[in-house]
Amino acid sequence: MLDQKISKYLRGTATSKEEKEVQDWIVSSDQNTKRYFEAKAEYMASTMDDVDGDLDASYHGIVKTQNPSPKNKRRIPVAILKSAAVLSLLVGVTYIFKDNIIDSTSAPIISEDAITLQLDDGTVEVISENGKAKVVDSEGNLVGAQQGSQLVYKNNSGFTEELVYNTLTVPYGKRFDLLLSDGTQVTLNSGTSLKYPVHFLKAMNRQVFLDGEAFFNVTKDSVNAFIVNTNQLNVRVLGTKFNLSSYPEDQFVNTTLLEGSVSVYNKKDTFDSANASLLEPGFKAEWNKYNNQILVEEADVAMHTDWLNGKIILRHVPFKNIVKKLERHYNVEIVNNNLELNEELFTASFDVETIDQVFKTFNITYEMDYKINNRQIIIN
Amino acid sequence: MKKGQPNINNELFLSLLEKGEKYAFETLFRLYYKKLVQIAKGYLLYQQEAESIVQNVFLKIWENKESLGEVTNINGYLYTMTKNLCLDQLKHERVKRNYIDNSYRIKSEIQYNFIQDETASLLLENELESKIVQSIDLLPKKCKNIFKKSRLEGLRHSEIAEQMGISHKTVDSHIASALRHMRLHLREFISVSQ
Repeated sequence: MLDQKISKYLRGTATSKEEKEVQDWIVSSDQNTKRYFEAKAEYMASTMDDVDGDLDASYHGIVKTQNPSPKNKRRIPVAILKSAAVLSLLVGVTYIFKDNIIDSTSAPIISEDAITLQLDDGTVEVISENGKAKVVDSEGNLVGAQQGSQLVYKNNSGFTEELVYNTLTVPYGKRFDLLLSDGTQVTLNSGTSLKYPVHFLKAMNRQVFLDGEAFFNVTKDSVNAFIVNTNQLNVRVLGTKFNLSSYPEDQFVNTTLLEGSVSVYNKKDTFDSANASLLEPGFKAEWNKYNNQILVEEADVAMHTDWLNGKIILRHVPFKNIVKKLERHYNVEIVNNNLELNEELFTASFDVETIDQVFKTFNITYEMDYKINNRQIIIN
Repeated sequence: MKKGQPNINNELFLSLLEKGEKYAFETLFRLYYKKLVQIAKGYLLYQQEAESIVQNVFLKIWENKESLGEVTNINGYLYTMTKNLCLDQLKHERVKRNYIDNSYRIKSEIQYNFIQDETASLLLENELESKIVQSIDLLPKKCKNIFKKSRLEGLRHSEIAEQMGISHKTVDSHIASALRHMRLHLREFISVSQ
């Protein structure tokens, strides 16, 4: 019981009542303090594993620190800034000389708001929403083409010996459809990227790699399983419809099944029906990243798939989880300085409202002191 | 450190940094930045300050690169610097805040004692090192093989292609992807025992 509260406290998800309880326990004896310190160190060590993501952005953050966050009082002296800027230039040059193969630093800068497709050789192309992009392989053969808001790959034909991967990345505020070469349909939610082979190999499992949230309608193939790899969890299916949400910043990885059956298992294990959790339609598997537990329970399927229709449905969701959803959906930044609000539970359904309307609605049920400046919303 | 695992090559790293080699700096950044941010998040009361703390760590390293000669363990050095900056920040917060909020006061007290706990520090410093070593070993196998042949054994792309019976293009794309994922110069910093 207490262990559970300590782990909530460590994750910052304890209610203020639980927080107080844990704090009292910690300070009540040296032994307890020691036990807590140990748990805290172990928890911190475990967070070092969830650190995927865009390093380039951070690196550029350090080399052009012109607008430090307002919270940070310590200004970096101009002299260091200058040396940092020079540094970034020199790094670029170093690469051109040293590697001479790719030089992503000199590539044209791609807007963060664009849907992009990264090819196997590392080139990144922008997919405009109603454009007609074409994907060609290294020999110049057409392997895929864009049709409206969908990218369609040609059927597996001929012979493929080596997997060639493409990666589709959808920014905040957008969604995109994908039809893979085996006929599997995938819809990518905002802030998501999926890496998949242009053609699947014959007589091999079909493997794709998800970072974010997507809805899969997998073409049945009783021999070659379809496996979605996420950071810590793999989902293995033969042919079915399911939603998988695995954003790196979220605590839970949720797999919700609509039809057929899927197995969910730890990425570290090889698949074995004994170590996998089997899901039935209408159920979801909720994987807790921090304690590695899987919880299988009946799911509110609509709530997990509403995003396909551009809606957000919330049922008893704490505000801090809502913040992330809204940020992704509306492509805004939300700064919440009202920490009490974080644990408040909300139930709501948003359809085509603007972010203004969403906040007005929140304001009716919970008096919220907020300000909207363009894409930034500050709650005090 | 277990046999057969790569090690962090401290001396070479430090001597290159001292000479002002930017790619050594960028490699260090790419290896450590995110992990140090996680550590800072654990130490601070306000997680949003973690990134700017760690950016300061790296700016300081670059600024003081000429005097890195006294450092023997780069992992420990980065960890300790991050920890010290977090400690400064906590002290600063303490002064700034007038303790109206009791629960905040206790929380800050616990954090403050935790950051100075030696057992926890030691555990975190060691964990950090072993996670760095692991992350180096994470490149896909084939990619890593080709990368090693090219960068460690100095083979030409055409030679690798011939040896491994694959096309020149495949070699190119594996190396490009190794560089893209890591942008690391393994030869210089990591002694890989086969």
